[in-house]
Amino acid sequence: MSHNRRLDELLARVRDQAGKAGKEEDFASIFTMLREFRDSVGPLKYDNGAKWKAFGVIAALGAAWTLAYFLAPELQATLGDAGYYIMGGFGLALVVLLAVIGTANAAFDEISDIIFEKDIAFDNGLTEVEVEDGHEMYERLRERFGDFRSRGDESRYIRDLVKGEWTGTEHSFPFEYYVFHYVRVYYVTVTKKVGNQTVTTRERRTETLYRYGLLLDFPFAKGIAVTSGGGSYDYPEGFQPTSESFSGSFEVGADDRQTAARFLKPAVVLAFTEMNAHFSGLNVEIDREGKMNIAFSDSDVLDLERRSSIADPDAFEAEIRSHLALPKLRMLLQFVETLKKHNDSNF
Amino acid sequence: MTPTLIVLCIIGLAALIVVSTIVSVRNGIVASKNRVKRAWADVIAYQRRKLNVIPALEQGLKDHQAYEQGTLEKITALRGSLAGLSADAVDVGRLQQVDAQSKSLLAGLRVTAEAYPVLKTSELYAGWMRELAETEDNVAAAITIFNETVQSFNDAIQEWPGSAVNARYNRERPLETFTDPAAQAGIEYRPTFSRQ
Repeated sequence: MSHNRRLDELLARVRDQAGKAGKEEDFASIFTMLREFRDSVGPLKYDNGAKWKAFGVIAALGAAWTLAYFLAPELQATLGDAGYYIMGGFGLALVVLLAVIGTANAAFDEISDIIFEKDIAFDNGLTEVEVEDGHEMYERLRERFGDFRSRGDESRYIRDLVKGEWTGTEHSFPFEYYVFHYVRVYYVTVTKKVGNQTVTTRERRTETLYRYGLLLDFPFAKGIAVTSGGGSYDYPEGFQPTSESFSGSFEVGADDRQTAARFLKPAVVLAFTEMNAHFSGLNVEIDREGKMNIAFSDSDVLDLERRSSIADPDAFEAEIRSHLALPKLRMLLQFVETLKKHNDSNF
Repeated sequence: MTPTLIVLCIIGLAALIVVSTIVSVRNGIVASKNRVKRAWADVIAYQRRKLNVIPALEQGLKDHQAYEQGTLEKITALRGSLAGLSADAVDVGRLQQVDAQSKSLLAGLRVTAEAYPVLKTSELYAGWMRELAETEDNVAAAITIFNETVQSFNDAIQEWPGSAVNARYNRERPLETFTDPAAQAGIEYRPTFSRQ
C-alpha cells in the first residue's frame, strides 16, 4: 500500500476519534497513532512526488504543443481554433494539479482545528449547545434586552450558543455565550449611462453583521442598562457618575436613579472604564427580572491561535496538554464577578 | 447696507463670540469644580462606610476574645480620623492620614485573624472583613476618580483661554491630587517640573 493511501486511512481514523473525543485524555490515542505512523511508515505529510512529475510532463507537452502550433502554419490552418482549445486544456490540467498539490495537506490543518477547538472547550469548561430555533430565541431576547432592538432589518437569529461555568474567588455562576446574526438593509443611489441617457436608480444593498454576548443571572440589581454600543432601551431615568472617562463612553438608563447610583459604585465605574479599552460597543443590561446581558462587537472572545498541528505530534500534544486559556472570556467573567462582588452587599 | 453698518455688525458679532466664549469657559470651570466636589463627597461617603463595618468587627474580636491591643487602638484612631473628614472641604492631607490608618488596620486585622484560628473560621467575621475590603476597593476607586476630576479641573484653569477667564472671573487655584505617601516612599525618582 502506498504512503499516501496509508496516510488517508490514518487521517480518517484520527478524524473519527477527534470527533468522538469527550475529554482531553481521549486525544492521547490520537497522538500515539500519529507517532507510530511517523516512526514506522514515514513522514506525516502527503508525498506529492508523482503529482509533480505529472505536472512536469503536462507542462512539457503543453509547451511542445504551443511551439508546434505557432511554428507550423499548416497545423494552424488544419485545426483552426481547436489548437487554442488544446492549449487551454493543458493550462487547465496544470491549474487543477497545482490545486490538488496545494490542498493535499489541508486535511492536517482541518483535523488539528477540530482537536484544538474541542480542547479549548474542555479547558474552559465550555459546551456547545444546539440552537433549535435561533429566530425564536432572538425574539425572546429582543423582548428582554435593548441590545437586540433597533439592530438589523432581516435574517436576525441566534447562530451559536455555548454554555459554561465560572468559578471565581467569591462568586461562581453558569453563563451562556451567544453569537447573534443580523442583516442590515440599506439603499444607495446609483447613476448609470444607458446610451446617451443618464439613469439614476436606488439599489438595495445588505450587510451581514454579528453581535456577541453573555447571558447570566444577576439577582443583585434590576432594571438598569449601561451602554456604549447602540440598541434601544426603555428605562426612564438617566444617571451620570462623577467619572468623566466613564461618562465620555457610556450612557446609563435605569428604572430609578437610586438603582443606578447603588449599582455604579466607584469600583464598578472603574471596571467599566477598563472594559471599554478591551471591548468595542459594550452594552450591559440587567432586565427587570434580574437577567444580565453583556453584548459587544468583538468576535475573538472564544478564539485562540493554534501554534502547531498533527503533522508534528510531539509539539501539538504539548500544546493540547497545556491549559488553553481564553484571556478575553476570562476578562469578561472577572468583570461580571466584580459587578456581583460590589452589588451583593448587605448595606 | 452701508460700510459703517457692515463694520458695526462685524464688531457686534465678534463681541458676541467673545462674550459667549467667556461665559462658556467660566461655566465650564464652575462645572468642573462641582465635579471635583462631587468626587470628593464620594470619597468621604465610602470612607465613612467603614464606620458601619468597624463596630461589627470590634464585636467579632470581642466575641472571640481576640483582644489585640494594637488592633483596637487602630480602630479607635481610624474612627476619630473618619469623624474629622468633611464632605464640604477638600482636605487631601487628612485623607492621606485616614487612608494610611485604614490600610494599617486592615493589615492588622488580617494578622489578628491568623493568630486566632476560631476567629478566622468565623463566617460572620469573614463576611465583615470582606465588606471592609470591598469598601477599601471602592475608596481606592473613588480616589482615582477624584484625581481624574482634579486633573481635569486644573487643566481647565491652567490652559488658555481657561487661564485668562479664571484669572479675571473665577479666580480658582489649582487643587492637589491625592498621592499615597507610603507607595511613594519606595520610589527614589522624583520628576522636576519647572513651572506648575
